[in-house]
Amino acid sequence: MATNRRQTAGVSILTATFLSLSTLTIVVDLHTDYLQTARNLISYPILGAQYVANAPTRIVTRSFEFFSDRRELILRMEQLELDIARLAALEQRMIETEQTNAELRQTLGVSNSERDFVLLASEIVSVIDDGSRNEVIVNRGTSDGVEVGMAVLNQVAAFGQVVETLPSTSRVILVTDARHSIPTQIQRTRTWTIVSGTGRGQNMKIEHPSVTSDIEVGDVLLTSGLGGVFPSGYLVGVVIGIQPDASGQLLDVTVDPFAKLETGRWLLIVLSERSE
Amino acid sequence: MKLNYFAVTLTFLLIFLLAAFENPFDFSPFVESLLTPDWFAVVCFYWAAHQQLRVPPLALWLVGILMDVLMSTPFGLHSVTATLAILLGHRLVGSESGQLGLLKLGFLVLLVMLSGTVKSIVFMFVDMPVSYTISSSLLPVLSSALVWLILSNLFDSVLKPPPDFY
Repeated sequence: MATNRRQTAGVSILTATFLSLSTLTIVVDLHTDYLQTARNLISYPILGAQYVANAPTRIVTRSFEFFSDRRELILRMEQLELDIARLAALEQRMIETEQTNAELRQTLGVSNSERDFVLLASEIVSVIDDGSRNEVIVNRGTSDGVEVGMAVLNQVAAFGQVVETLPSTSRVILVTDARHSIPTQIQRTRTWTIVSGTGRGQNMKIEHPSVTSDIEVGDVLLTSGLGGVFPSGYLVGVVIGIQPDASGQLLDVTVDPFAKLETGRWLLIVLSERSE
Repeated sequence: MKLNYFAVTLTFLLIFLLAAFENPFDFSPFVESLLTPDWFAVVCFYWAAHQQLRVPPLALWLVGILMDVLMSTPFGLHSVTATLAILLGHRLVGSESGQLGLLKLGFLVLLVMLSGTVKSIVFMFVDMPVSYTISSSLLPVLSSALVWLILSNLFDSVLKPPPDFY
């Protein structure tokens, strides 16, 4: 009986000690950067584990690519060559448009706010989607020049923002996460708005639009460039639903984001402004 | 009771790889939640409660830290799960000898729910929206219970403890 009591007391003390230690580390980690070095060091073997865990998927994918039909490869190559030609023509048009734009701005005496950015290609190595967070881990970190706050794009649209950096990986919060907001512009009316993630069902919402706002279903939202994080002109989402809220003074505007996890594994991190 | 460190390490390595494995297909959030059980809680519970082994608490605590880096959660969050597993494990000592007892399953469900609650509380402290939908809160518990039934049997048969083990 006495031994049992001693054991129970021992376990209670042990539990209390480790619960206190865990609580302390949670608080320290949330409010200070003291544990960042430890996290950086541990991230190396973790990255190795992630590569090992996903090796079977990669091997199967690469095998399919390796053994793919020659005719299929030729067709794909032809399609890519066509895409390159089309994009080269578009680039030429864009250069001319930019030049005209710059000349017009000069004529009107308006300062040129267009900025050029250096983009860093990265690959998604892990997805964190646990109901509370919409985040991904990418295979670029501080050693590649990635910093907290940098914008992340995919091939079609604004994707998210870097919230944590480790030496070889970074954590990116998606635009659909409820903690994220992005300054946007409605393409049709050029009106500035703020779009926030909802964290539910991959949708976004426009923040506090009044009932008199000129917003229609099908309106496309672009990054406005305000705030200096996201370059302007990138697609954000399309309005798919409008209805008055409970107060009757504001609208509930639902936005379907263009950037979705299933749109691909490759992302572009906006590193910095390109120096002229 | 002797502790097979190799087996303990092997099982933690396995769940570490399972937790790091990325779904290569496009699943709905509902299916995704069902396929993401609390691997760490299941294995901690297996060693601390089911096998009633005295796994060094510090070792479990450190594995919890590794899980925190893997899952990008604050340091200490998974360690709370490990500590709760040890606590529940002690409560189960001598209460049941069956391998698939309902009591153990109930304790595991309790552990996963407690672990989820702790996570929600910590997330609330950092102003992170906490979702209480069925897919985000109930399905991981359900999938953990299902995984428990499979993994505990699998580990028991693969690890083959000696006859005088219990």
